[in-house]
Amino acid sequence: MNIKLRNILFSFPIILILIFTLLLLVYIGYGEAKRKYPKFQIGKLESQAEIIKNAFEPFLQAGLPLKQFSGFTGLSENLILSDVGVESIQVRDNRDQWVFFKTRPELSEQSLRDELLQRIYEPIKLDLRNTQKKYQVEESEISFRVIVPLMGKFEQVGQIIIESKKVDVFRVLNEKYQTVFYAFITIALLFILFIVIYELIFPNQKTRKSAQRAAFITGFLGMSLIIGVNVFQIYEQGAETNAKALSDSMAQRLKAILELGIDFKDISGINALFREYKHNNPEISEIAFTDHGIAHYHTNEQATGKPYSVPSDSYGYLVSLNDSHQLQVTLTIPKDLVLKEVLDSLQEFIVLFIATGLIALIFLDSGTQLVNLSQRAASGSKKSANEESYLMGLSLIKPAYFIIVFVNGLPISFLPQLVTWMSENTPTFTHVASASLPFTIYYLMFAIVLAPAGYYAEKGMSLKKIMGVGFAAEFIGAILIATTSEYWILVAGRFFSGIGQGIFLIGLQSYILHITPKDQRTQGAAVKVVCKNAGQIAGTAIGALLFAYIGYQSLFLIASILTMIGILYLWALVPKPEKIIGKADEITVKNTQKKAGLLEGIIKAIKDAEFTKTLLFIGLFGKMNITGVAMFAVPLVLATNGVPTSDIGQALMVYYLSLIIMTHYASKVVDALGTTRMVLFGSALFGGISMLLFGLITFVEPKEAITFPGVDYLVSMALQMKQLIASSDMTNLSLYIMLSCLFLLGISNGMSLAPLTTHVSKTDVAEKYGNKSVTATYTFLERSGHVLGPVVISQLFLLTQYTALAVSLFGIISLIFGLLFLLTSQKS
Amino acid sequence: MLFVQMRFFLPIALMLLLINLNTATQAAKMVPNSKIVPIKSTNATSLPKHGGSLAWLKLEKEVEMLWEATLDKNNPAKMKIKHRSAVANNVLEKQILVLVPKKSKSYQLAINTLLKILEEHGLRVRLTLIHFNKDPEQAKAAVALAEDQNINLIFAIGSISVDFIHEHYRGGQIPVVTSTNKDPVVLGQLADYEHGSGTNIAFTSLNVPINIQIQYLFDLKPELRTVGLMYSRDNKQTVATEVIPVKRAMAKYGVIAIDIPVDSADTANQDLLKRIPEAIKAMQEDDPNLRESIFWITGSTAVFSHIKQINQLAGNIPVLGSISNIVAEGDDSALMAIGIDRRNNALLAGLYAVKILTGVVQPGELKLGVVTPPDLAINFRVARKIGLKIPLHFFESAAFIYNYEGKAARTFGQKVRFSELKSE
Repeated sequence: MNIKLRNILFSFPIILILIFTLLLLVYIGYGEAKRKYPKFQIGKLESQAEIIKNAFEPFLQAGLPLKQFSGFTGLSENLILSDVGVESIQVRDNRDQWVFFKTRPELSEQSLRDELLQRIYEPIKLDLRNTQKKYQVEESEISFRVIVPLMGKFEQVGQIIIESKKVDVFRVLNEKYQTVFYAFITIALLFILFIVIYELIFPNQKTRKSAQRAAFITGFLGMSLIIGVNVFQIYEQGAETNAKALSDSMAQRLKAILELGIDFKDISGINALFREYKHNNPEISEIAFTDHGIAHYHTNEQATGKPYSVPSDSYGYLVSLNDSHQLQVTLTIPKDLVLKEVLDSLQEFIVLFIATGLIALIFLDSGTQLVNLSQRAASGSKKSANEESYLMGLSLIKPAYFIIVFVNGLPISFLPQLVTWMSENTPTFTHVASASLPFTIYYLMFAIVLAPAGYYAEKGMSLKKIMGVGFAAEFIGAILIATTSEYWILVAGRFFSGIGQGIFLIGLQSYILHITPKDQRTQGAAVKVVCKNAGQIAGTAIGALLFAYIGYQSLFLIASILTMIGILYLWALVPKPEKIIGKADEITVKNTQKKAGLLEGIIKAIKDAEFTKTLLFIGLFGKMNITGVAMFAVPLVLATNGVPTSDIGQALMVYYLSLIIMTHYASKVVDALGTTRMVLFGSALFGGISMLLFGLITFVEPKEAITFPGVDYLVSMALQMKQLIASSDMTNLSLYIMLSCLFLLGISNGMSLAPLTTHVSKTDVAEKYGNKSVTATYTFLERSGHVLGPVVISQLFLLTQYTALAVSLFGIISLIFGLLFLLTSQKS
Repeated sequence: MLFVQMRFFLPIALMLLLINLNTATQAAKMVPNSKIVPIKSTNATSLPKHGGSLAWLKLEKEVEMLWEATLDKNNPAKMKIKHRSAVANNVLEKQILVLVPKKSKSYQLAINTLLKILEEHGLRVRLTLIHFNKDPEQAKAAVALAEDQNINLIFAIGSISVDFIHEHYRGGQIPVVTSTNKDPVVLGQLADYEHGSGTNIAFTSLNVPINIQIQYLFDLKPELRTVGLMYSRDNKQTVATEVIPVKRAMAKYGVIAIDIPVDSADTANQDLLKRIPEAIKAMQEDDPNLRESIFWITGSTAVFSHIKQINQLAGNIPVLGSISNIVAEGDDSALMAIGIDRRNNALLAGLYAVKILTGVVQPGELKLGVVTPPDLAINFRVARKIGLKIPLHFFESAAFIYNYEGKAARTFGQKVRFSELKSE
């Protein structure tokens, strides 16, 4: 095959990655718009319902029966004809019987009535944060409705229901978003064109990576910009619609004066009405009543008597009160409001940028290596396989590892809440079902499979096959959860996931060991660290974002599809180690010799006091901290505090980022201080303080009193802290403290990873029996902390009536153990 | 053995004692100072025939379609009303005794409204109406008959009926709901506005509580200084329920109340002619321009029937009152009425009756039924004439509005259509 054509073909994965990241961007953008846009529409429905209410209430306040009101037809007809989004306007009495009913002229009233009776309504699930919801809002599968009570002289006499079909609510959004879709296709085609042209004209191995990266970033940023502008326009349209409805509602009240032939000059209190309306609808910036363009009444009294025009920083909507258009009422909404909504979404986009950036980092590198590989293979024609460098092997194994870690990271932000809910609702074995069990099972299986997987790796089983088995187990785990809402199947799913992750890790470690020259092991280790962290951050962040739009089952389905892609990738594109190094079983022999000493090594190691102290006081707690607190308790506690899943994902990102940064610098800190003891104590100290504070700040008073001794002191501390925060002028102070705690927790965990190994390697037992075997023994024992973490935290939750004080208690224990370590450990 | 038995029975006895004590305390709480007047059973199935006649009482057209009224051929003071639809045999029909003291259009309205409310709530009730002609003995006989016949509720219409019930049947067996009566708090029949009577009577009131009325006056004239108070001396109830409380409340707010009494309906014309100018002079001492003054007409027919004369004498001082009838079409109208429409009072009384009949509440638990916000009627022709601006919230909540031509533009809260205006 022609070399250029082959290069183009091998660029296919890069194109796929671009398409995938752009699609993700398009989807998240759409999801965000879909999440925010309805609140404008619901605001509009509320204002429209208010128009009907304002017409009814003077009549009802006069003590007359609802059914005798005579102005419904004209009023509702005007509203329905002027807004295609309104499906029906209904007035029902206290027995829920229709008194008045109006629908669109093209719809049959009777069939719609029949259809409405079939719809099942529930409180709206959309995120209406930052919105002042005035009335009850419900949704059915296909519609939204606003319910406004109608008050008679003495009691509620009925209700107005104004209903809009979701398809109509989202019509404008969908129409506008088509532009984004076309832009996506255009950018994808341009990128393909670029790749083709590049490979046809300048197929240069040295510049390929930079050129592709530049094109990728350009496409990505271009798409982001288009989405940003589009989302802004959508919100803008929504805000204008809302402003129109608010203006109509206000105008109706003023028109009532003219309709009775009364002159505004004989009425007082119009300014007060404007101020009250503005107060009740905080999105309004000003309301003006003008006569021949002069403001006669205005929310800002200083503007009264002057010519009126809509401020440039506002959207204004004008309604004429009379036929000659002399009298007009104008209502404005600040443009900032729309910008604020866009900025609100920006947080999600930044997270997405980081996540997709990490994906691009891994895959672009692998993609270009793949093309280089193809180019070399084609140009060298008959070169031997072992000439393919280990670097290429490392680049190509990265995506596989990234995928499996990414898949594992997807449910982190919501899994504890999901498991808790399922465990409470499972009908079988309820006494055993607990929130922590799936986590314990996962880590237990992860730990258990390490030894047999290692055994088979050493026996010479194909490493690709081992990793393939890991992927397969992870696939079973994901697909099981994707198809169920039953707790025990979820437990089974986590069982398989634990197996999959453990087996894959062993396969990967052996693969890297096989292909990396001894003097280049750091690079091999770096691949592991980078992929693990990047996969976990990207997975957690994207999982948290997607969960808000598609729910957990779809997300696990995506996870299973990605795992399948991982298997295919592994099978088709990852070279066998032999192809890279050309030696099949060298390491197998060596490792088999080592194996016999593991159990003996454990006994020898735990006899060493410093080794045991380090393991018990710091190591185990560090691991328990990761799996019990960061992965299990934190999402659960945040969810209890009403934090949405997407924000939980972002909070966990803060933890991961600080963990990565500290992991990177920890060894340098150790070198600088010349001691591991203080660094490890610092890790326990920071961890303890951060957990103590996190528990206090996120504490929510339980229904039943906590009887565990000493906890009442923590409760009063938590309440005092909340009072202190409430009295502070700083907005979102508790959020910042909470994020700082997570940041500190990441620092704490990052501080202990490398220094622990160094500390253990300096123990007497390590000096006597060799660093490698003792640190390997230590790592093996330390993993039990992973398993114990969720179990211990669950017990603490039980003792503290399922409050965040469980985390505080864990923090206190961590502090005590850290102190014990400081007092009893040897100075290095 | 005795000890064992005592050990067993003593706690039970103590418990019963406690329950008994508790019940007694509850009863005492429910009927404070109650003077239970047992009305002796007459053992008679009919009433003495010297009551008034109920022949004047007519059901409205829409009510008559659903309810059938039958005047007793032998005793015109008695009328039976029953629902036209057949009542299933197994449904226990409730019975109401309606006490009517005299002939009155307001009482007719109250009865029609009660029937509408009963219908709206799906209650099939049999009503017995007794016109007792202001005679307490007749009323006693009616109540005794009600007890004999296991009537479920007494609907006492008008202040005379309520006085009778309060005097002679407070703490009686049958629950009572009052309608179309003056403020029982001011008359000392009820302790306050916040609590129920604790007896068998659930009170309603035709009067707007004074503090609410005054709040409306201050909304209209925030700097209000003087009020000319017009009333008829011979209308004792109005003096007790309106004049004295208004004067007391005005004093509390630092507003000077100036008496403009008429001695009787016969002398009203002359009295007003003399006393309004005198009052204006007195008002000018505190409010020289008379911009912060108003005239207030109480519910005395002797006064408000002279509205034309009052308007002429008042000049630009706004004339307001508590009876919605004083605001009418044309020039012979007060500026505004801040009162209670009798229909709404009857509506509230009807709702109280429904709540008691359906067992939702006990009559003594229902606090005084007051119609809030009050019913407003505004005449813009008069407002423009005296150059007064009307607060927007008055306009929005007014049930009756008359435009600059003095024509009704809004009635019962609903806009009068242009065609209706034209045809008038």
